Amino acid sequence: MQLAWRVDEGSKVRLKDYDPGFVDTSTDRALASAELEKLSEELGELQQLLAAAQHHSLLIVLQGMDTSGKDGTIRQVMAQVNPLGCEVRSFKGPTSREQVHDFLWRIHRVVPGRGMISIFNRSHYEDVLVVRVHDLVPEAVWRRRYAAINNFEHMLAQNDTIILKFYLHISYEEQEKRLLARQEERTKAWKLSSADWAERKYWNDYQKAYGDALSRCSTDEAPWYIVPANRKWYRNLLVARTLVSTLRPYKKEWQAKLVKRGEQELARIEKLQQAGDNPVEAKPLLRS
Amino acid sequence: MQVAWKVEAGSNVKLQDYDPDYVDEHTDPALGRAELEQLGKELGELQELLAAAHHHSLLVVLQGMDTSGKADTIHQVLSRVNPQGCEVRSFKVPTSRELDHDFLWRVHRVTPGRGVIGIFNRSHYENVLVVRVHDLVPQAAWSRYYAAINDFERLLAQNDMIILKLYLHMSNEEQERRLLAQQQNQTDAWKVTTADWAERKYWDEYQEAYEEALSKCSTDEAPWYIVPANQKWYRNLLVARTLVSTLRQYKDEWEAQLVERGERELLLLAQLGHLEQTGNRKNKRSK
Repeated sequence: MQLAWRVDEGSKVRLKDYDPGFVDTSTDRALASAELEKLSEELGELQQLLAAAQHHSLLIVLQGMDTSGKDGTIRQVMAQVNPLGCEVRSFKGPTSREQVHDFLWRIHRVVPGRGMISIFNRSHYEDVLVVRVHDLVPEAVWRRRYAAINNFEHMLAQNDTIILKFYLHISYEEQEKRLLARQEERTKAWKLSSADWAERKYWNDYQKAYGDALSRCSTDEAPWYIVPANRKWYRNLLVARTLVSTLRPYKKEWQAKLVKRGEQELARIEKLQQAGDNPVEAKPLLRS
Repeated sequence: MQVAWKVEAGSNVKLQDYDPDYVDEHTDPALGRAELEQLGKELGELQELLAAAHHHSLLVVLQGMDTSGKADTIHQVLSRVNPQGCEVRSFKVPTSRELDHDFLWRVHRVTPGRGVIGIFNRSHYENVLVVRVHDLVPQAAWSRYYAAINDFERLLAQNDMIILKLYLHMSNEEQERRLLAQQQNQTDAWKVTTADWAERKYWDEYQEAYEEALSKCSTDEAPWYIVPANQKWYRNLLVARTLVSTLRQYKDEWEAQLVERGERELLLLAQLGHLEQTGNRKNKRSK
């Protein structure tokens, strides 16, 4: 099964080497929606286990150029996940309260606790992307952030956070198509802002910044995945496949934990029964 | 001026080498009180500059065995500091929500922002102290915490946080005296808990855990200081001296920043004034 392209720790990413229009040969569009349906159902089940086992948390970082489809991906892939156990966090320009702290302060506050899934729609990586491209801090400052990010994610991983980082990879031409389409369609025009066209001028700078972030901050415990994203249906499918195939290996562990916890509870109930205090029989009494 | 003993990065601390009773020969309780008064005032002034310059923040970590005087030190040394720019944070047993996160999560939330002083009465170091002594997490977990703490404090320091960590060093005998005194004194008896006596049994384990924390987590950017704390007046004096002598080094920089900002504001005002004047002139001409 073709997944998103994993960036191996220590490798040097050149985004040109990855085809944003890629589709694997064993998948076609008609089969895909059925597969996505199945995968998101499985994702919903895995999330229930994650929440019940209460041991791991899951952090999904979504990054990509404007119009690359971060929102669309969340909507399509996470459709079957119980919203009670899943938080989506967007990061806008920092507030003045956030600005008086280090760049990871506002991020750390909203990382997922045990049993939770958090999806970051943009993330701490903006501090080495937009901040770098627009010189919002001196180079000496953004340069040392790669190490700070790795240290931070290392700590989260050691605390049993499963971390997946997706870069939605679209081409320059595809972005233009999408921006123009928005302009032409009345119901989509609200998404447009002149800022999108202005940012597009920095395309090459952004690609370089992404290349660096993906190269320096892909680790075994918090890997980056490159998702070919020119085709929306295939983008969604790959993200779903990658999520499910990452979580599946934990399934047995979570189930075993739940079984064990169940046994402990049963043993406790038995003890109470032996002591003459029967919680099982007490229930009907309460009802009457 | 004798300040608290700084633990150099990479050194191996043996607490028995440090005398908890130490008092330097140039001072005595009467001189000490007068000096503390002066230092307290200076600290207040430095805090005002820190707040106005709005560039650095200050984090003071206070650790020490029960009855070593953490709360009293805060009270005595920082009473001259504007409470608006100074937050004291105590860390109790983590809540269930906090336990759902990594051990630095609840600490990071309450670090001081630019211009603010944060005082931690106990801190993230409890995760390599009480947690270690009582096996609250496996050794594999707490032994990783030292590196995590260093990474975390580096992140803070790189964001212009001045970090001072003070270990209030008291002897085993002195602790016993203080616990007994608290029990005998009706107005202090509320402070005593059986837990204090129970914890006292782990004295050696705590000392060992402190030694390792001080050895592994004293860095140039976030140094540990050992404060001889058997004599309360001297403990307060050394903490005040250490704080003041650290902050003094920034005074020129903060003043320069304020002067620069003032000049910029004046320039803006002058430009506005210039516009007004030309406006007036035009009015006159049109007359």
